[in-house]
Amino acid sequence: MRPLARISEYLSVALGRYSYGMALAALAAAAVSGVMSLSDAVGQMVKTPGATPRPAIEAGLMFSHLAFGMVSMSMAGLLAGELASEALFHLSLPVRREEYALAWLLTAVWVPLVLEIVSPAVPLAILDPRLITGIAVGPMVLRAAEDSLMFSTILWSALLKRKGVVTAYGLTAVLFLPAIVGLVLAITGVIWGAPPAALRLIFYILPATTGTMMGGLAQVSDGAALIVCGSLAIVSQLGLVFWFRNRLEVS
Amino acid sequence: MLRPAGVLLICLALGGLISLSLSSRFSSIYVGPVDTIVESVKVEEGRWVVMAASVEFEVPSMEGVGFLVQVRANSMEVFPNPPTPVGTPTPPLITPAPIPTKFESATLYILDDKVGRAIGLPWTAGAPTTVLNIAREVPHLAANSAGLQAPDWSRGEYLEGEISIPGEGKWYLVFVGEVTVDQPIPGSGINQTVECFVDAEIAARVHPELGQYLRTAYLAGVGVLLIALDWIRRKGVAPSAPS
Repeated sequence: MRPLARISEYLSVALGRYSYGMALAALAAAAVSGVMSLSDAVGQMVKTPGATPRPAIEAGLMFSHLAFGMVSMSMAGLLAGELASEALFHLSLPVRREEYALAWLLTAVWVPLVLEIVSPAVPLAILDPRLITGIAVGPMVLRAAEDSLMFSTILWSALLKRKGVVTAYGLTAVLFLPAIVGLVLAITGVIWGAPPAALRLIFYILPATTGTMMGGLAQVSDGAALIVCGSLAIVSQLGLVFWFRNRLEVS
Repeated sequence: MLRPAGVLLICLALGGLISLSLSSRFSSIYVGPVDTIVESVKVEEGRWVVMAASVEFEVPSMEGVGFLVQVRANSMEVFPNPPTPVGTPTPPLITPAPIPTKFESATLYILDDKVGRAIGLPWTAGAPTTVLNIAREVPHLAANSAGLQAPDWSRGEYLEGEISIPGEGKWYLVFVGEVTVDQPIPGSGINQTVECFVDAEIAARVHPELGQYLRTAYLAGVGVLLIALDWIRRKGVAPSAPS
């Protein structure tokens, strides 16, 4: 059996356990994010000299991020459970550790990430396919880079083999982090007028979240934020594969 | 993998349909403001015409979406301006009490960009002196028009209305209102000005049409097809029951 076929085989097993949950999340994201995305996308298409530039589909993506953050957390919870009990069984089958890691990266990071972006875009495509090519893609790319990093860190937490830890970290990262970041930025803004240099790193690590909250006030180049956040995501995911290959111990 | 993918496609189609249905139930989607320049002209004793013209705005062609301009104007008030005696120090600024006006009519017009430019729009350097002539010509040139209901200004009501934009392209909005004053106005040597603010906003309304329903059905149909393929594949793989 070829590596790709082995990954695909295991992927279908891993995804199969939560496929209907993903479908439900997609339905919710398409329905709710779609409403927000439609209004933003329609607004972007009208040109008036007096109109202020509107965000792309940031608000829609935020809800989609919450829905698929929960999905990613659930998938990472499954991995934690599997590592604590039956991973040895799967790894005794003709599947290599790297392939096992890649299958889980696809399951808990890349499939939710793709659906997170696609779900708000489907209502736009149904309304008028030209809307898809007309909207600004910058915020989508930043959101994808940030969540590829965030979801992979949730997968890292699964290595502790405790579902409770995954749930606590996942909820913090997906639900509470935007609120915490917003609060910290607001407090530092009130005290010092602008966030201190060390805290400005957060604009590069969480470009989509801080961009949604602060808009143009973040004053960070999208390209620089994408490079920093994207590099961290790649390092995090490659690190995960190497950890599975060299350091992982299963029960 | 086929069945989950099929279910996913059906869910996405259903979610898309729900979002379109929710969007169409909203009264309108706010798009953005349009700047207007307002000018008032005294036609004869006790009768004023107020005209507002917008900057140029451009709307795209979009399936299932209709664009409109929503307009809101406050009461048109006539203010007497006592003449300033020459050679005397500027008197302290006292805001004169407005003279109540009676609403006569108000109409919104949508003009395409060529017609608008032909009559001197946009008013980048302020309104021209030929405002009254423009107000007379506009009804014959407009691509669309809509009359506004009389407001009760004594109760603080705004003059509100909307007009649909005929289609794709560049357009101007023109507002023409007329008021009269019932009571006698202070005598000669006193100017009057009319004050009125006209705010205009572009909005959109979603009306799903056949095209949207067909696209939803297509997406859901592909999902059903994937589920059917999965069912056929499973049936083919499953061992037949012993006879």
